[in-house]
Amino acid sequence: MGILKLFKHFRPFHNIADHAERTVRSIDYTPVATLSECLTARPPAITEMMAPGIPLPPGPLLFPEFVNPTVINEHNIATANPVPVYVTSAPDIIVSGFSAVGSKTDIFDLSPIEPGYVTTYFQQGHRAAGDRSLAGKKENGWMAGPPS
Amino acid sequence: MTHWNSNTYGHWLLECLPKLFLLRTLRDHLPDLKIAISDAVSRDVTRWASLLLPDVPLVVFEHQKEYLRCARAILPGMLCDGSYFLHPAMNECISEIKTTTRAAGERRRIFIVRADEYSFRRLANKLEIMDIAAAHGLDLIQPETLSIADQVKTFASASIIVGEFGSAMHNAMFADDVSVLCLGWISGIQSRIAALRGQSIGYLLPPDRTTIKFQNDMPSKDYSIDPDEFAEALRRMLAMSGKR
Repeated sequence: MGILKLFKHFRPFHNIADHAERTVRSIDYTPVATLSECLTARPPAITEMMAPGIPLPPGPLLFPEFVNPTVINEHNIATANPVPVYVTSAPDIIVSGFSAVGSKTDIFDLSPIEPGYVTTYFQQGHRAAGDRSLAGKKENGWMAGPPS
Repeated sequence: MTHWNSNTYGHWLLECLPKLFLLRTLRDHLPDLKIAISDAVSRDVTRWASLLLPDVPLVVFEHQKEYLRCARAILPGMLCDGSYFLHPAMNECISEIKTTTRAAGERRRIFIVRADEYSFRRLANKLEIMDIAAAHGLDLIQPETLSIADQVKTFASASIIVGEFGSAMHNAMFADDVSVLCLGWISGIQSRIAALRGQSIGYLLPPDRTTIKFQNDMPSKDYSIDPDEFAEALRRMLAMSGKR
């Protein structure tokens, strides 16, 4: 059996639950007015970096005869909801695995600064989201220091 | 800056690359900035970081052996919402990126050749479609074989971009005044990009007009594009392109 076929053979096992010691929890950001406040706040903080912007509307779809109504409808969806742009900051953060952000006990749901599916996959224990455990790993002190 | 799906290039482009842009705009306020990157993250990410923030050190950790503990983390947000509606400032982000890669060359018509490895969908008559594209004067491009700067320049110079729906086609975000044709359809993301950039876009589905949507653990599915419809769409795009 070739390597590729072997890979496909094992694909069904990709989503088995991980052995997760850390739980997933949301961050309660404290809204602050400025970046400098955000960078020095003791609790996790969030600030708007630019005024929310309304997405530009779609143009006409080329070749509608080559698609189905779902594609036409999805293409033509417009929104009047402004999109915010945030920066957040938090002290004493652990980064691990494939880029999981958290603490010794939790992995953080970083919404709204990350897509919702990122947290969903953590919550469901998908292997695609990477190893959630800190067990057996050493702390890299290169960036370590007392929380500011 | 990254998350576990950053190695999927389209997700990197839309969800994470704008974070680099935000950090670039905030650089003067962050003199001690370092970027934490897992060694599980694609080399493309470090290439992008080096391009946009060349003076910022990257701290790469071995994800199987260690974790990073940061005195403070700065976590920049996205320039889109959960439905991939893009903030108009994404256009500034793209302009800024294009300044780092310098001007595009002469205008080209390109067909994006998609690698099939591990994909949940496969264009069964890909070679036939590639031949038709080449016969209509399109250059066949595999973006992943180019440097980041050359990828940006290639897409920025395009007057026509054609290819299978997927991550590589999201590079069309770097193009101005372009017509885009996607073979197959997965979501409204490419239309959101087209809306942001003011691009003309169309899709060509298989003759039965079905779409293939990703589901966890789904087996790979084949689809075909009608060669006559593809040739007709190309002729019409070339005619539109000639009028501009």
